[in-house]
Amino acid sequence: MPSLVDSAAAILASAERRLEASAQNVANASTPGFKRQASFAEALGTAEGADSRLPAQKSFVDFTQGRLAETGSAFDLAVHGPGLLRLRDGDGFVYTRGGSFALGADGVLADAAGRVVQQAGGGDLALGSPDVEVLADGTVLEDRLPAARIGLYEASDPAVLTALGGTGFSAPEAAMMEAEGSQIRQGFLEKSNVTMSDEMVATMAALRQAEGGGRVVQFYDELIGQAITTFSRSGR
Amino acid sequence: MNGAFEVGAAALKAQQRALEIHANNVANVNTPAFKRTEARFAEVLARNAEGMAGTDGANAPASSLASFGGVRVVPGEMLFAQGTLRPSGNALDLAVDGRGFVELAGPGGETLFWRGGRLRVNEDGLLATAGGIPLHAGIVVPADAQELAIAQDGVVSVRTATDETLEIGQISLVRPELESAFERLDEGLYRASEGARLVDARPGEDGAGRIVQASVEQSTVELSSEMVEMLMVQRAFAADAQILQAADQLASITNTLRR
Repeated sequence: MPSLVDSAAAILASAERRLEASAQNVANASTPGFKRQASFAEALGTAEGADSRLPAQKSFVDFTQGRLAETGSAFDLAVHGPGLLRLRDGDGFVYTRGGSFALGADGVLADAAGRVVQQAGGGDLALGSPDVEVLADGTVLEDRLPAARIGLYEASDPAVLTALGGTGFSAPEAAMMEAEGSQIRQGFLEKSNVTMSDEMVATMAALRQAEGGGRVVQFYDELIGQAITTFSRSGR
Repeated sequence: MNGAFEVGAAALKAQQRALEIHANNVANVNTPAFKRTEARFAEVLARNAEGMAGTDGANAPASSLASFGGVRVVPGEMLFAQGTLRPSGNALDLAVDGRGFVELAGPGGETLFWRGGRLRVNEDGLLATAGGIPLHAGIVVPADAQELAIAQDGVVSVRTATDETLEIGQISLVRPELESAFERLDEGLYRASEGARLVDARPGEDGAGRIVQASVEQSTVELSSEMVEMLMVQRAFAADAQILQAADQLASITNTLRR
């Protein structure tokens, strides 16, 4: 019997996680380069200490291409295709779908969080002047002369990419390789690929799921209450 | 408490910030030489940045759902674009056609920058902005000046009462390597942030642009695009409110589990 309560609690917890995922998606519907995170329930038997019949809530990142919108700013970069830009965050690397960058100290190109754009083959991308042109393959032209190339990477398997919130991803370096068939667009930003109606439907589904879980608890409570009254009466 | 509450609340706050930025743009649609600011969003992680790039990749996928923190507005950067120059017919209106800024000798010896606007002669006889801040060039206008002429290269000359033409100075321009190094102050003034690289330039050289007299640089705000952005902010705000409501309903379900 108690497993009924456990199941109901798991249903409620999973509804909460689903709503949270939807909330994050809706909140970032205007964040450039944001990739929608879809959550799903998975019967996971391996988790330690957990009841194998309870669903575990997992998420995956939906890498559908977002719409590219022109901004006209020279340091706004977007990727068309499955490729990712590599940024150096302290000592580690993160991958993003592009974004708004600015020239930092010593001419490196960094985003608002201070993460530095990496060249193809490694190393910070350093620019001599703010007047640069970025070609589709990532080649950076300074005064019409090629100066460097921005690296575009692709994961051998999308599952190795771990979402760090939605626009940033981490991955083991060995699993990343040079991207083919992806293009960099200068002066563009990729819009978020969140579909508001899908999120609203997911929200409603989560709410109904929670309602169902609640009903299970109430039903169990009623059942036990009835059992107690019945047995206590017959025992007298 | 349910994480959707915090995410929803953060999103509402971010949208409100974005609306403020657009409101400021719309309010300054007729302000001479105004440069519009854009609201950019970025996601927030509840986990702090140091832990993210670490090697906890093995358990991250399962826990990543718990790390949501919502959205925030990135401090708006000034988007530098040339505004349209409109002839005003007033000899004391000054505009810059190009990327240059006029240097001003601000209070306390601080150098300020200006994209142009209405000039006046201040109490000390110096050519100054409408707010009374003299130009860095320190141009003294004679008391008997009848007419003031500013050439494209910044040379200022006056015609005196005796019909003589006198050259009284030259307005120079500076060009920042990056406009984002400028911090916006009130009344169309800018202050260079620390470490900003400035290029001294004579008007008409090094891309600084030329000085145009009797013209006003119009605001770069486009009312139609601001309106569209505002509509989008409004819709996003409503969607975030819906999420908050759903979170509230979820909380009410859990609260009524025990009747």
